[in-house]
Amino acid sequence: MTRNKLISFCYLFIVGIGFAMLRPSGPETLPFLWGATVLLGLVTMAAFAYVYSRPRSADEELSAYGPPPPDRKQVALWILMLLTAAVFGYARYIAFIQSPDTLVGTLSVSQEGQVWTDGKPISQTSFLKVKALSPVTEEVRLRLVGRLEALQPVLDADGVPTLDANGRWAFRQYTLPQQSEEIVIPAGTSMREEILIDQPFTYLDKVVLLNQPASAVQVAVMQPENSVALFARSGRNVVPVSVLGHINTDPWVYSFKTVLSVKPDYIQYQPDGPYLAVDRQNIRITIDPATPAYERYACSDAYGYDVFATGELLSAPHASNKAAFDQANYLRSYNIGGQMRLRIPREGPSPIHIVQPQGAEEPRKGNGLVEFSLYLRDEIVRVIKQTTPQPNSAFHGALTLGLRYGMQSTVSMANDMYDATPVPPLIPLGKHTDRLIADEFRYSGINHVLAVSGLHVTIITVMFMGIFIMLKVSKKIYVPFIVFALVVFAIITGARPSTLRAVIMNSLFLLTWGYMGESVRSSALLGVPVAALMILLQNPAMAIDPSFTLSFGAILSLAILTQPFFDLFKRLKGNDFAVLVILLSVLTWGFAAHWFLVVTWRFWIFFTVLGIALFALSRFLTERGFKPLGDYGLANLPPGIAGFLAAQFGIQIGMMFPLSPFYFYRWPVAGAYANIIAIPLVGVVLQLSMLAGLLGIIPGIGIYLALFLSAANWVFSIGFLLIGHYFSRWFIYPFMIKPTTYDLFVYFGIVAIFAYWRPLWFRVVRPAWRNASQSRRLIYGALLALIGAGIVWGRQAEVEKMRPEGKLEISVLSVGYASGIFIDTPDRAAILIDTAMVVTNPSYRVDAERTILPQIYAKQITELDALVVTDPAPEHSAGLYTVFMGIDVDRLFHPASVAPLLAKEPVAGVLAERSPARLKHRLSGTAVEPRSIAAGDVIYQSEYKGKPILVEAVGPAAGDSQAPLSIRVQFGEFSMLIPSDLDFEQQKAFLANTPPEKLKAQVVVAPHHGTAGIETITLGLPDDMPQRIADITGPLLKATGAEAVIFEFGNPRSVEPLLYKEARKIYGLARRAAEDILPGALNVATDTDGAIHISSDGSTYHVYTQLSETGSEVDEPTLLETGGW
Amino acid sequence: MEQGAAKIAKMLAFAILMGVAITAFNPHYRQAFLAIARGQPQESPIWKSNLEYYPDIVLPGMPPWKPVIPVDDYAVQSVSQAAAQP
Repeated sequence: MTRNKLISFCYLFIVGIGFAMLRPSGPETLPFLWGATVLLGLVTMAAFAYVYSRPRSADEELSAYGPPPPDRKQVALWILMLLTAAVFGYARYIAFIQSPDTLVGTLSVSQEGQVWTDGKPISQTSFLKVKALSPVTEEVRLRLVGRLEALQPVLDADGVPTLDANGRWAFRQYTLPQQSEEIVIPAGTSMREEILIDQPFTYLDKVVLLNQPASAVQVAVMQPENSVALFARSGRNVVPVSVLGHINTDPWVYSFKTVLSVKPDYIQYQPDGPYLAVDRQNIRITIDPATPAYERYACSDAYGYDVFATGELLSAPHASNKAAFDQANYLRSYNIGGQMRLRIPREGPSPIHIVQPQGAEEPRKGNGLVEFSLYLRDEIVRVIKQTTPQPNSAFHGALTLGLRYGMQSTVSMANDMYDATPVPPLIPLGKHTDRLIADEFRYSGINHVLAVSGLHVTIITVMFMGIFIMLKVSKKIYVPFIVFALVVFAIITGARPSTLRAVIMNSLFLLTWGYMGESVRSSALLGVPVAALMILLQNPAMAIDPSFTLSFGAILSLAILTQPFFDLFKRLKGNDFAVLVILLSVLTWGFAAHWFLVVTWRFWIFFTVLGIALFALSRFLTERGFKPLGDYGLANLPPGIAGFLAAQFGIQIGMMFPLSPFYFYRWPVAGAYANIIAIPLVGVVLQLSMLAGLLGIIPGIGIYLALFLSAANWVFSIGFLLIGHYFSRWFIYPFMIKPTTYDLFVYFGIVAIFAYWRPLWFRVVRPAWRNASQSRRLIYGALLALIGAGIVWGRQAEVEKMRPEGKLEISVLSVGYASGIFIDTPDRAAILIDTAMVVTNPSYRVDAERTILPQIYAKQITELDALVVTDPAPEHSAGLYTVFMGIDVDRLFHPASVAPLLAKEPVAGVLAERSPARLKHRLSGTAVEPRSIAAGDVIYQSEYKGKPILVEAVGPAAGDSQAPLSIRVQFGEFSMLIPSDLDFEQQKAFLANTPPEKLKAQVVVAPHHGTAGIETITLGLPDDMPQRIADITGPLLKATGAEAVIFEFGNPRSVEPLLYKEARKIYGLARRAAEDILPGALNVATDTDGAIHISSDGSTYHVYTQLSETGSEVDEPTLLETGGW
Repeated sequence: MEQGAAKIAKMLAFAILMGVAITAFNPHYRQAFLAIARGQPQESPIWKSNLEYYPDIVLPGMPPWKPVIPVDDYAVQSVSQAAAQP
């Protein structure tokens, strides 16, 4: 296979995976897909043998010196090979995401009787499924009868399962007769619907039909794969399961917890039930420091230990908001089927035990190479701890060894706490900040140095090559050593996709360079797709993982875009070069000083006009011989620097600008500048840190050499930390609209045209145009116009899909015990009501940043027509500053009670800065002035096709400086009431003072998160609280006549630290009261249902929940129910 | 490639010289050097600044790490605030 064919095969394999992600087929197609892959593969191989075995003609020999003539056999071979690759990719992904079920047998029932057809026997003890193979028109009842080989572990004196001397779990086996409960397949069951049987079987002897349906029906009995996900459940108070397995990766040790990845061998799903062998997937187990023998788990030695753990096995939740992090998908990508958080009982046995094989003095160890790598890593950490002070040591650990968890709570160098540490900062910065170093890196766009990737691996490769060359070792000898070192490095740093990619690529480069004499560039072009194929073969879900795409995006951008940018910029010489510098300076000023201006059309029109004018002036001056720079340009810079600058443009345009907003809704604009210094500097810091770590291990003099190197490196790494600190202060980390897949497709199409414009122009477009007749030119022009129109039409369709015109769309976001409601009106005005909470304990979380702004930018909205803060309580207003910094706000509305909050920093500073008195914001249209409103004031009013749109305040009464702002949203015949944080007294006043027609609404948000009345409590819940709720909240809800009640609820602990238990109880009472008062009304809550979305066309409306969309409502039993065995 | 190797050698030599100078003039690095020389690296201010960084990794001869069980902030806060209530 030639190089180009191999490269194309790899890329088409990825295309196949992409297609499977967009249009996945069911598990039943898998045998066909694998069959097709094998068949196509065989045909392709045969075609290869045929094409390459026959002698080459003279024309073909000559084709090596020019473009090959078209050959139908070659074309057919290409098509076959690419088709094989795509089908292979498709099949691999489907196999990865689906647990293939094995057909145990089929039961066909007709008037004549029943026929059982055997499939494959049950391979191991497993739960079974019954699946309808034809539509069921009449109820079918049946029972499975068989046997169960129940495994019960041999316990030691402490009741802990044991391992035999060979390291296998010791079991006693009982063979028991087994039969299922009565299985009812109701009439109306459609084809392919499945019913999971609660009882496990090892052998199925017969299927007993309990009734005789009049019509023919066919059902299959299937054996599902025993993956961890099959046993995981969602919800609260789940029945605990027991797990026998081993720790299969290095534990992640945090300051407050340790996370273990356990590969289960057996799971006991039902209490006192049999242990079932597990086929695949891992469990993520979290333990806290109170766990007995915690220190044995919170260290690298724990890798490989056999463990017995008991706890609730939970499936990860899907995202509870649109555009939010989907933990379920994330964990599935990493082959994790469930999570356990082990609770330490006040008395009784520990929930986790390390188990040793019988007769052994120590627990079993893991893979020798991994053990060695982890030992080496711990030794290097020990050296770092002795030679580099905090916070630099955390940075060195993350940079050199991928220890990112050590950086998680490391605050900025500018934090005052370092003044009191044993080694205070070398340079006092003076400006205190609580920001973490990792956040500073994120904001300044240099966070990538913490993700061990190509940069690190290349630096280490070069470092080792340099050392071996200094020692005059032949490359044929040292190449294997470096490849081994890179493998160890990958293991040490956690073998993330970006690291694996880099290690595979660098190893390929080293091997082809060392033994085949290949050049660096040709190795890179081959290495990228081969590395991708190797990673995706093992885990195809990685194809859309940010660490994979960003890593490959970076290397492809470097390989493909650096040269075109260099060619472009080197044409700009003399005055033109000066114009380029001026334009970049203007852009930089815009980025740093006024981001909201940069994202307006008016800025880009001004910028374009300025560019044209300056280039015209440049030409004019050049023609008159005024050239103060002479012919100086990019090409005059040293090649390394010029190439590096061009590469930075390539990275930003090819990877950061499109993919960073796609994954994170943000683009670290500072990165374009900070990396110019940071990347060369990180080469120094990484090499010195790595050398110090390795030398420090040498007994005797090693630690002194490490100390000297680290002392020098301390200065360099302070420089690096300062880059992160200052660039994060000078630039903002702006939110950006999330491009859709269609947008990315168009964008990368344009980028590809830019990258390959030369061959496209000279080989395709120009010759075709020159040789074309007039009529053909017309056809070309029309085709081009058609493509342009298609792109515009596609874009319009995308916008319409995101924000359908004529629809009122309201999202009550799931932001815990707080409020954030986003309204997208039928005429596409964006209104945000409340800004959610900032939680600081136990971890720092800003919901405005994490949930609200991504939600808005996911709809490609860049401006809020109105922002409303209904109450000064932090659960409504704490995110105000973040929202202001994240998006342009046209108007700000608030009740009188919020006015004092607006006078406090940091909001006061932002409002002063954005004051209409400032010319800068008046000109850019980004000024904002707060407006206090009361009942009767209009927030937004419009009309869509004759239907009125009205967002108005219905409370508090004018002059009330305490009550929150209550809002009513109306579109045509639909209305929704948002009362905000009304307490009991305010609810009474609101009901008394509001006209009844303004209270009427189809959808109402429960006041005060469903915990009104908590303000009346000092200690303990009063017995009459249900009655109080019925007497006060009841009439208000009844007056609305609502058909749906929404509760904005979550963990109340951060808002009500003293009364959080009472808040939970009141919430439960309020939900029940709502059900009693409005029987038949939909009763949903953001804690159990995720975000609640309401959509209306002005006549009808539809309420749906985020978790019902993703199919993971909390408290819903997932795959298995507990049952007898 | 040979030029690259020479650069690395120069960088290494420069870094060691710079490190020696910093160790000589910076009091914390000087104390760290002396603590290591005395065979008491645990007395070094650099080691002390890193006590909470991967605490499970200790120096040879030091007792194995024992975790500090965190106190529930909320519990402490709620008890003290409840006590302050009338």
